[in-house]
Amino acid sequence: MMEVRDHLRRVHDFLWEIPVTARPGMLVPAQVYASDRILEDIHGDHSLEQLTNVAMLPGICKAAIVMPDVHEGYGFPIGGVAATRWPSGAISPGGIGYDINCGVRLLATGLRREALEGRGEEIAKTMYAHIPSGMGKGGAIQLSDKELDEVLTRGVAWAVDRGYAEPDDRDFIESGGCLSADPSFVSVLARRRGFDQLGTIGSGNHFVEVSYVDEVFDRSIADVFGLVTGQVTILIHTGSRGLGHQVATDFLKRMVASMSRYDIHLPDRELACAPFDSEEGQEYFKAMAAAANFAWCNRQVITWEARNMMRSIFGNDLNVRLVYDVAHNIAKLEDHMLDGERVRLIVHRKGSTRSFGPGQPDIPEAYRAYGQPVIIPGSMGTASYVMAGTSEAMERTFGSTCHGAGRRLSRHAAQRAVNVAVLEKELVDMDIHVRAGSRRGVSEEAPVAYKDIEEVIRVVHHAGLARKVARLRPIAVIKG
Amino acid sequence: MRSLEFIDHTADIRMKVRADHVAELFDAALSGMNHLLMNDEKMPEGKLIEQRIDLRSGDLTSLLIEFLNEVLSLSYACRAIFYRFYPEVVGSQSIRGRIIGVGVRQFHEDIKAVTYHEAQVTRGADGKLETIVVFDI
Repeated sequence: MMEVRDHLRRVHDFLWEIPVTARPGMLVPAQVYASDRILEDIHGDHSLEQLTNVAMLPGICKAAIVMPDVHEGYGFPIGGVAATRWPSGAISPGGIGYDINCGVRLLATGLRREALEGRGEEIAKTMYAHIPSGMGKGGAIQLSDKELDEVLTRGVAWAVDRGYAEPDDRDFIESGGCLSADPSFVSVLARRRGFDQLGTIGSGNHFVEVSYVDEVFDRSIADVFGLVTGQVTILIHTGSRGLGHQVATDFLKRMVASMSRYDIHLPDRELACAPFDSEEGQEYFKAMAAAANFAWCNRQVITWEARNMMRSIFGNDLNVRLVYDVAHNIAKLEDHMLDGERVRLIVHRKGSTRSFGPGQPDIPEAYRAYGQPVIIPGSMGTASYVMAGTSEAMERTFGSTCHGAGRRLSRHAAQRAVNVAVLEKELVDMDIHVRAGSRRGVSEEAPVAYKDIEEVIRVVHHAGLARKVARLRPIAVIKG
Repeated sequence: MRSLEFIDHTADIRMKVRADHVAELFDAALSGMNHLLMNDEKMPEGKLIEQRIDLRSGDLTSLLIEFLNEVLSLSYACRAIFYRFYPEVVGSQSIRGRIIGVGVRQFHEDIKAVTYHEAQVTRGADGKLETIVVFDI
């Protein structure tokens, strides 16, 4: 019997397809954006099989798609994109992930790299003291039930009202930092896990990084985004913390139980789903939106902490401007062209980033003519990229692109492969200063554990899914 | 006789658990999860915390995963490790009982959820129950 991988056929340089006939139950083909090298990296995992499972989702349109940072996930592979037809196509929590609205935010400062010469260690230490990180740790903000309801309903607007934001911040967040939510569908356990976690980054691959613009590839777009070579920037990568994890768990359990009632049968429980317009579908979407709002507030409070931290070192007049904030684990209602017709779709992005091209109304007016900023963090010690969304992405991938480098080694394999002391010295020799909650965390997140970000970006750029604008290099990083 | 084995997984943690009977399987899986949360065989000392578990599910595999998730959620919500499970009812579709634990200041691992990924309780040729459990961390 043929393996799923044996059905892969190259469509063009960086696009492969598994036909709809590859497995019974597939409703659309599976499409893989990857180079030969990236395909080799996923040889031993189940990401392609998972992608063909996604192709079985009720109401799925065009193709189940995966980006070049692909690796095995739960239900969906990481890097997965699937759009189902509104109103009764499926919505699947596995297509968003447990960390609802995990995403990345880019801030641009008024500093040049020279101002940080010899101060990387000081910045890492000060950041670590200012911004809570680590396993299950709470922050300084403890929300009452009423306050938590406001965060879940109003998103970033809550943070604006309480002085955690600067006047223009909300305009430069995907969806304005708020989706229409109903916090009554967020469980008591989710609330108990989240009430003290605003302003915390958590652990794993979440981080805050002070970096600088190392190279500009597209001067005209960089100018519009307000980025110049040598400029000091800050990246924030985190999500909805325990609250979001619990929302996902609660609804996955509910949909596993209810699927058969809708006569839905899928090969993987983690793909459990419900029709979008069903009771389960609607309640999940509104709870997911609430968790997404929490995540945007979380990144906003961390922005406030980062601004305070930088101003405590470089003076209160320091400009720290929000360039953009993107989500990479989320489902959105979006209108896209499909077979010549404009249709409403439920677009799932699981470890993939929206990449809306020029002219799209959802993009801030200042950027609209050029495409939205797309922020792609690399692994610890490697480059990150700022890209711009494209019209080609709108046509090919429902306006979607990759989200990062994608793991290639297990955590245990990374721990075995990495000598932490040697890695730490190598980073310091490159003038990169890391503060982490544990040495184990450093080894697990070492560059060798991830795909080559340069290869991922090369594929995305040449496949037309986003355009390179600038590369960032780290100076100081904190991880949980 | 029960056994636990941790196996490589690209992004997260995969555990294989085996046991002679259902209650032992649940207890063994709980021990495995607590080992990840605490990375220490020795339970901390402190005031005891008790919570009730009362779950129903469509099959034994889902029930196990949902049991672990319930305990995980309570662990984070109560900031505690629940190291003992006292079952009152353990069936293939329902489980009821008490969990006892102690408070902790910090966890060793941040487990987002216990996933259904690769989970399937089966009985091996040697008569033992076994399943894989994958933790999203």
